[in-house]
Amino acid sequence: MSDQRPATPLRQSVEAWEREVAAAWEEVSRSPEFLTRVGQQLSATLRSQQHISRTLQSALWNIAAAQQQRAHERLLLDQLRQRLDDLTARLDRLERRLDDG
Amino acid sequence: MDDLLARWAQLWGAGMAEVWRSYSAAKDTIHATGRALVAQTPARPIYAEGCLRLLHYAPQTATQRPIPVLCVPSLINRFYVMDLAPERSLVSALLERGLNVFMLDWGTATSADRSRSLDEYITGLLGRCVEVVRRETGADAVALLGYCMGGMMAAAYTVLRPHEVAALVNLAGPINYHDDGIYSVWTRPEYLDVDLLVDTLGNIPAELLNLTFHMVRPTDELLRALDYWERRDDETFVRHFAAMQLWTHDPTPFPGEAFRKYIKDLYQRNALMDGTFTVGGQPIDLSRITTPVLTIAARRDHIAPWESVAVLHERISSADKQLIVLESGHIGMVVGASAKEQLWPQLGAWLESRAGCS
Repeated sequence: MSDQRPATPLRQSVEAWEREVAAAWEEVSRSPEFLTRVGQQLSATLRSQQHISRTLQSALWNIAAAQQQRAHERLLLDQLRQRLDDLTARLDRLERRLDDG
Repeated sequence: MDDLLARWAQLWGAGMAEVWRSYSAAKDTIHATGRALVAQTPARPIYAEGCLRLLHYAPQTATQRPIPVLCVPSLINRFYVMDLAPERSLVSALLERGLNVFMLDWGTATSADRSRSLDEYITGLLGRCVEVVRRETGADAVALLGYCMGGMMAAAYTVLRPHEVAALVNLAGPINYHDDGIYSVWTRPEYLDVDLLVDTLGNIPAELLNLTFHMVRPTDELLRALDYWERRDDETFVRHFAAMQLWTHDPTPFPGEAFRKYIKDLYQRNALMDGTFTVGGQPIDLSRITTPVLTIAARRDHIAPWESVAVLHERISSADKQLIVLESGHIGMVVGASAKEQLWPQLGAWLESRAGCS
């Protein structure tokens, strides 16, 4: 993308400024102190993300387990209700037979 | 630092504010323009596996050279850098010489690719693509043209299956990873915990890779904005600018396990240099390469410093080998204004002479 036109004053100034910033950044981005800090920050962020993921996953498991437990309890209650209804019906029949007898 | 900030404030007031606003407002249009330009050379997919596609380009000459050329791009960036725009297409330049060209498009890695190893990419996916190309053309062996990371992969493949590779081109593919390049510094084990990164994220997100690329020279984007502002009425410029901007902002996620091995074995241990790098349990000893090899490096390459690429030329045992060092950068060498006069003719002529008579 070469351009043969003369550089405008704005371009000249921006390019000169950019070269200085790039040189300063190059120095910073290679310095062990800076890289150690960035590396530590990245590791801490990743560990936090792992912790959040694990907590969320565990919470989801707990919710799923609780839902399963509630469903099981509902099933037992339904079965109990059914047995009570059956017993009530049997009692009714026995009472009617006693009354008839 | 204060002086640089003060000068930036002056530049902002002197016109950069308008430049940046104009560039920011045009970004979507620029990307749409780029999207319509890239990967336009007619091709048909002849093989697919997961997100991978193998493309076969339509011939542009009446006859083709018998040995096919398989382009192997990097796993990090999109394949279309080699077919950036109709007037900036390395692929097209090769087709015009009567070469039979195939392209491996790695596609966009998904969670299904997370545990795919680097070994599987080289011996599995690349191997199956080589097999398909051989079957499609009836050729016993292919010419591998690896760009960037694809150069390393193609070289490793050549060591493992020499009978399938008639010629090898390493285009800016680093071999020595302990160099002066910024990635060599950033990926040192004392700064980067690769296991933690991969275990947490799985595939390395494209956004993270993109951020890393731009952090090499963050202010570069300001110069691109100025380029656009000054030449936004130049249609030819805008076309190439749009295609380049799209490509540089369009990385693909890096499959997690492949990334782990790539960084640990190559960047951190430099295992290709001391002969301890293995693929599928086989050592990758570069001195076992006897195939004709062309190594092309770029002197202003900040991603793969030219000495790190050129080392392949020294390590191999090929009698037929050539090293070319171009006066350009990592991307400019392939798609820059000078590519048409420098890279394309030299690479094309070399491949042509090794691809048999048409």
